[in-house]
Amino acid sequence: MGKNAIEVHNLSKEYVINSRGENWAAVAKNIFKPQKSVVKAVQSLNFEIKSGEKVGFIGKNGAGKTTTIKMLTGTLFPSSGYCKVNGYNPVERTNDFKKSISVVMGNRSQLFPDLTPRDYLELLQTMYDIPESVFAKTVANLARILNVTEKLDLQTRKLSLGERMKIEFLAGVATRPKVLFLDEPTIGLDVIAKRDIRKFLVSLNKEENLTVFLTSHDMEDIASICDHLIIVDRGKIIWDGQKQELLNKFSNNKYISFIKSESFNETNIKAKIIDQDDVTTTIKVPAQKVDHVIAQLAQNNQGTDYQINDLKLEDIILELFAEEN
Amino acid sequence: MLKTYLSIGKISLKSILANKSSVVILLLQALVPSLVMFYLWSLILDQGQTIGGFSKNQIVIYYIGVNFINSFVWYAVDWELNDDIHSGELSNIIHRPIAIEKYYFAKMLGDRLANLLLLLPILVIGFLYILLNNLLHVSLMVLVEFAVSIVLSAILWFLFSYIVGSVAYWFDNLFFVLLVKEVVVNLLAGFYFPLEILPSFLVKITKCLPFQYFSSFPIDTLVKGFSLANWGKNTLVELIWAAVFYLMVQIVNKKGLQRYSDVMG
Repeated sequence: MGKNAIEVHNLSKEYVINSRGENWAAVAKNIFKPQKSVVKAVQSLNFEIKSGEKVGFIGKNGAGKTTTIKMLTGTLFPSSGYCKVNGYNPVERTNDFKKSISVVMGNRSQLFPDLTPRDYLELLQTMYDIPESVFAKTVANLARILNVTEKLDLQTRKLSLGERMKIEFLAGVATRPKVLFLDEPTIGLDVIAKRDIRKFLVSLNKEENLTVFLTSHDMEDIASICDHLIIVDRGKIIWDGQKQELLNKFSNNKYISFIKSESFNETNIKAKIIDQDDVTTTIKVPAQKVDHVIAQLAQNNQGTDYQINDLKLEDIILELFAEEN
Repeated sequence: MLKTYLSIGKISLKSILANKSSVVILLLQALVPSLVMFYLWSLILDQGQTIGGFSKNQIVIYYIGVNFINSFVWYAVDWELNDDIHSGELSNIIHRPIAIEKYYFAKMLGDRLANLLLLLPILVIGFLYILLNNLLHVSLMVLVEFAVSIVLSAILWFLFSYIVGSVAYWFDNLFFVLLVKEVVVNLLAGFYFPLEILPSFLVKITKCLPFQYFSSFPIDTLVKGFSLANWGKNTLVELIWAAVFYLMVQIVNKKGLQRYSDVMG
């Protein structure tokens, strides 16, 4: 770690959207006089990521995560502000910049369905101007780690989703990028494929000092890979810091879940209710008051089967969103 | 960098050859229209008549030639670009260390080379048929002119289609635009029939447009035979069109990618 791999200064992105209209008259009118509106996808983002960090970029759907990745990779131009990745301005789209990054998107395959993964990898080797022997060695090594060696010469469309995704990862890192951008990389994968990919990323980060910029709705991905978290909500950053720092911030609280008794009455609960359905209720209480609260609930015959849990990363992020709203 | 684009062309070629259905469709596309036109014009010009200065033999060769040129030149880059822009696939190309227009051009070369390989046996048979039946007398010079014209028409076609496909940056759905474009361009390029069949004022108009170079001009070069000066003059005009289209490609690329960024991200 040391110098910044990514620097983002007041980065904003607005999209111009054409509204269609509710009825035929509005649709017809719209042809001649389009009704345009502006959507602020990203608003004045500021953050820095050191070289070799593994960063989780987290947010709800529509929070601006993919838009941010697209600006950092040069696909989209910012409406205002600027960013630097590996010292390059992505807007300039220089080949040196493009060779210094890699992008893997879980919902968009870059492989050629009719050809084999090896065909695709050979194209990348030429495209990124990597010596053949070095590339072959890297691919063989990565394929072994990801357990896809025997899949490299099969037609891509015959591979499972997990195998295809592993090949995408392999291709993403075989070009020796300094920063790897991952957008929902484990979407739709089974637990084994997810585990392999997470282990692969962590080991690669250690060995190659690869900077990882990851967006995912799967908090297990974030928890097992990332050490730095940036949480965005409606295009703004609501948390930027180390994962452990965030966990510590909420470590003074516990969740108590219990099965509601017949005499359960919500007004008797003197703690914040986090979640409840017909059968169970989860409340949040300060850690030092757990015993006291449970004793009171039991005394008032409010429930049974009390379970005490630490807040998981997912819970903490939900808390953060709730605080923000 | 050239190595990269050759690799893209190679991938494109392999993709076509790996896909059996595309091979069958390609063969049918090349064969069926040629056979239909062969039969139709053989019947129409059975009594030694001519149409637009074309005898029966010439018009049969014209149609066979036009259909083969169609197979080698007319790569649907406009449809592909339209799909890639609207599906977001373009993002996969933008972040690669390659130029977008060169990427599509290399893809076209690979794709057309696959066509050439697949249709080679049919081409050879057709060529032997023409030679054995003494249907066409061409000098080596004309063959060279014909070959140069085909290469130039492929380049011109690519540039034109790329510009048309780039319109997708500004419009949601180009499906009908592209369909209409196909009909108009086919007509003005002489794909449906030789341009000389049209009324003289329309012929004059088509001669001022670039579309004749897509198929009519190369095949006229083979069938009618131009003087070197005449062929050279036409080729110069074709090159000027290519230069104009190339500049337009640079402009639509720049403006289009800005537009892609503004509304399609």
